[in-house]
Amino acid sequence: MIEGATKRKLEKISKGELDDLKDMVLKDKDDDVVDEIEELYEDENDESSEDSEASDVDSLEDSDDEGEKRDEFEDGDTSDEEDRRNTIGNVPIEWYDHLPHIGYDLDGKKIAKPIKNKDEIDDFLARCEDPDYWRTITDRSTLRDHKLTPEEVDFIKRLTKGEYASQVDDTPEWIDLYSHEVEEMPINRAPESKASFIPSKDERNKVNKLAMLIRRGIIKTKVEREREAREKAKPKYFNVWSKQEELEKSRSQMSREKMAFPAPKLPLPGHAESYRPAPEFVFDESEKLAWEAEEPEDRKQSWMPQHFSNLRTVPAYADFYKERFERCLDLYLAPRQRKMKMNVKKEDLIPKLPSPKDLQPFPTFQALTFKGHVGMVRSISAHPSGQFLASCGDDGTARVWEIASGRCLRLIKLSEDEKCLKVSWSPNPNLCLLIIGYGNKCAVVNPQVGDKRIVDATNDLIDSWEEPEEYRSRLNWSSSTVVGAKLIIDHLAEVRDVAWHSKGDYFACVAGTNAKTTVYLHQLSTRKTQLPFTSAQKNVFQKITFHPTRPLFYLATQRYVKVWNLAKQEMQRKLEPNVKWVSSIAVHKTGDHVLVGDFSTRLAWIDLDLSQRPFKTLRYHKKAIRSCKFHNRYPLFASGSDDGTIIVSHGRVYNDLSSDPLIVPVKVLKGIKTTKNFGVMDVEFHPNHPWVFGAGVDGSIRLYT
Amino acid sequence: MTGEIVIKLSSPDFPAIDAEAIEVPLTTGPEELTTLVEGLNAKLDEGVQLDFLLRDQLIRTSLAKHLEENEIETDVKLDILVLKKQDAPVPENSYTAEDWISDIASRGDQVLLASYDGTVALWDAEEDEVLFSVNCSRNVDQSEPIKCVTWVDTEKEDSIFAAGSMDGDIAIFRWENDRTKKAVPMYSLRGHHGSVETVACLSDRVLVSGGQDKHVRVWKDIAELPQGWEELSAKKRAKREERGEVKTSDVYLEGHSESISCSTVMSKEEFATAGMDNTLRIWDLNKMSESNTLQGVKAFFDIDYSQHSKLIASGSSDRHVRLWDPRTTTGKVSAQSLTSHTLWVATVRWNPNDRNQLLSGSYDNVVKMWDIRSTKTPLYDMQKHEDKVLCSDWSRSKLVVSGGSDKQIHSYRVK
Repeated sequence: MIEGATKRKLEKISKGELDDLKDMVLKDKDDDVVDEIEELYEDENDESSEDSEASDVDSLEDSDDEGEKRDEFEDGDTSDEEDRRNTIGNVPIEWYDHLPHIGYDLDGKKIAKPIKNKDEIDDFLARCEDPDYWRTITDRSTLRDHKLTPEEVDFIKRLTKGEYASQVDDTPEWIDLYSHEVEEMPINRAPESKASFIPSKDERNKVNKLAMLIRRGIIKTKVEREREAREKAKPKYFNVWSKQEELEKSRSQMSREKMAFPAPKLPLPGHAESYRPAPEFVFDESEKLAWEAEEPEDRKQSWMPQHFSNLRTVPAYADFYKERFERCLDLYLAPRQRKMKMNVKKEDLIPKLPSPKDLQPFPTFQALTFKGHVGMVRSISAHPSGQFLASCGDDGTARVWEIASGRCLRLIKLSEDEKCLKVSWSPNPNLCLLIIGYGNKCAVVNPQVGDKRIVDATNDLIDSWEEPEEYRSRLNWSSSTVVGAKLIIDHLAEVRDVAWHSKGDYFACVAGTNAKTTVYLHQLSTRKTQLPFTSAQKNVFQKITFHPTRPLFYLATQRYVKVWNLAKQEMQRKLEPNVKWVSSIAVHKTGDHVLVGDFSTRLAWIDLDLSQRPFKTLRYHKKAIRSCKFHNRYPLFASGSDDGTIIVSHGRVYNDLSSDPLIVPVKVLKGIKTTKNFGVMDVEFHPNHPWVFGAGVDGSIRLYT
Repeated sequence: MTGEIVIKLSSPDFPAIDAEAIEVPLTTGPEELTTLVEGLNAKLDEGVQLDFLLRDQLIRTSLAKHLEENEIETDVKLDILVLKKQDAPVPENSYTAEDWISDIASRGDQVLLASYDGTVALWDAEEDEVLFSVNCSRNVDQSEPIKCVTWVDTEKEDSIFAAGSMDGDIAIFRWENDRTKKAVPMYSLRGHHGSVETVACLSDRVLVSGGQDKHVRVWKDIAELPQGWEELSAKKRAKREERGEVKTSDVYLEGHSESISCSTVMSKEEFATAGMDNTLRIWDLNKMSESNTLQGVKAFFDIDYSQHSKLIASGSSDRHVRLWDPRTTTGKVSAQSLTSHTLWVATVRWNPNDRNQLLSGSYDNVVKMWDIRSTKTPLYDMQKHEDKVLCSDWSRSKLVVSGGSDKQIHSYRVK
């Protein structure tokens, strides 16, 4: 019999648990109990079959009808109750097919299979007679029949239709809040999200990343994956008879083989190590004493040669293990590494420069001396035709020389006490004009050499000028009283440098002191002077020059060279030649290269296409560089220095931007004597020939050809 | 190098030495050879020196060195021609001018001197006397240097000369060969822009000139007196007699890319010019065109053509005297350059009587006399100048004259 308490308990547990209980009882083979449980089960089946199984699915609807019959497991999880029943776990139930039980309960007792004595006929009859046959299924875990409740049937029907499992209203009424129709007023105040009008960066990154991974082959497409799988599935064969070399070696293996380093070999034993050495190898008494007196480390040989009459009498070598051990230590501890020795000759490290012989023509020897100046020659300038050379010096004179013969053709005495610092020919071939800077003045001189028509035309041009009504000039231009000079421009300070524009109408002057300078721009045809730079720009300009073709103006300050755009009236670039005190600048005829000499022996070549810093710095002079010049026709440049030498260098400039200029110093020209730390004051190239002039402190001008 | 070599001497002057082959050591030099000749022929006059010519090259060193330099094989018999050596030029007169001498033109013993002070003087070298001196500049007050001067060959009795000035004019002067009279101007040829660097006379009718303006100008009918000279009024005539009849020309030949510095006459129709553009151009006057161009390596200062050897010698802005063959396109000659000067060679002149002798003057103050068969060693050096030698000439009367920037003119007699 079942006690009351148990029965009460039994009432509480649901139908599934009842089955288990029944099984438990069955195992006890207590037939009465089984019967009682059967009865109870039958009752329960009748009463609560509808709610018991589907309670978790549809508890809401059931609760109203059968509220009083609900137990604690009704709408909860019943899994732990099931565990209580059968503990075999999640194993196929087929494994118990040949066994009389279908598992074990918590106590480890077998749960017997329910007795099923139905055969095919019974089944057929049941099908014919039982109206519920269609919804009777066998529970595989308990092997019992189970009649599906209408709810369960509905549940299955919904699932097969693809609807929600529960009876939720899956088509609620649609409130068309955000329709496609454009409303007059916004529905809410929220501003439009940024994401709605800006493409997502994050997404793009993701897509890019994926695309990159696919491109690199890290992510594989389905087709690729399949192909790989097919390849992998194929049997792999090895050529076992192939030679070792043919096998593909891994990288580390190769490097290991490459770096393999054979252990140093031990020296082969000599005659002294023989067991029966010749008598001369065996130590005599004095040698023996000497050997023993020496420290073991200092000994020439670590053993004493001994004479044995036969091999039998040779004892075991006492130091054998010690030596072996030391050898092993040597091999193991001595650091051995392959030295990566560079097989480079010293000469190969020097950049290959072409031989000066191949770079001819360039001036090599002194051909002519132009004598006449008293005192220093400060500046020289060659006429564009190549026939004349103008020079000026400390004696206050300017002279014009015939280059071919060295004859002084003109002597213009400008001043008694002031030095002429700078002379320059007009680059205009239709004018015969010299600009000479002396003292505070700048003289425009027609030296009357060369073609008579040009001389007359030049005179006409200057004499025919009439003062316009609104004439204003910063400086005073006056007709000259000095013999030979046409015009004199009075500057307010000492004229330090003069430079012509390539057209020959404008020329610029730098006037000032070491503390302050002013740049004046003179126009010859209108006799006007401008100040292109305001006095606010407190620069001390050393040298000036014009760009040969473009409206650019190069101004050398003490440390830098400024490139001023005359058209835009602004500074375009600032070159940093890395020198201490600029003494001279020269612009290549292309305008893309600037040579800067300084008072501390350096000559910097700046390639404007490359950078504002020097492409190359030449330090061949021993003293300050006074002047540097480019040749207009030949790839040459020269620098004159206070050490009395002129260094001529080959400076070839290539048209293509890929190759750098070729700079080779080719010749040191000597001959100008130095006095008081002054040497070559100015250098100038002949416009047509590879000839260079040097103005010396000794009053001579030398022509090197 | 030691050993011996077989030589065979022969000579047109000393028939006695035409002997069998002689074996001489390789160290034999010109002195030993002279001794040898003296041994063979005792009739050698006092003071006569000998030169030995081997395969058109004068022997100046030992035979071994000479053979090595000229790449002559030593295992054959060498025929050596024995010649009388050219006598040293004898210095004659010297004359100091007012200014630098830029050009010299000699005719017989009369030498025209063009000077940087704008004057042309006629100097009789024989008697050391200046016959006249005239200023050839357009503007006498502001004289421009005269850069070139030349005699104009004429069939008339009067002497005519042309002088090119730095102001672009060429003055033609006539001199009546009268020591008491000065030269009088005939023409002033105007056309050159810039200085006239060279004039050359092809015949009495044709004058060519070149200058700074790169053009070669051809002037014709310059030896004739201007038409209607006699009918002019006295005033006009006086004016013309002062400066000459102005003659302009626009006919010019183009070719040079830079200033023309020198020219030489080759025949009545052909002449050559050379300039600072490193080219030597041969012009044909009939076609009025250029017939050949020889490309040099240095700027030319002076050229001269020899009627005997048909070669052009040139002095240029380096140390060498070069020889050119105007009939070839490259101008290659076997003995290309004569090297002994140390500075620019300003002037070269052939001996008008000899095919091998040449005169060169250089900025190293030395005038050298050459035999072109010996390219390394000149025959004689004339070292009287104290400054650059700018000009020289070699007249048919065997007179050698040179002038330079030391204002000196030195004359030598070559026997």
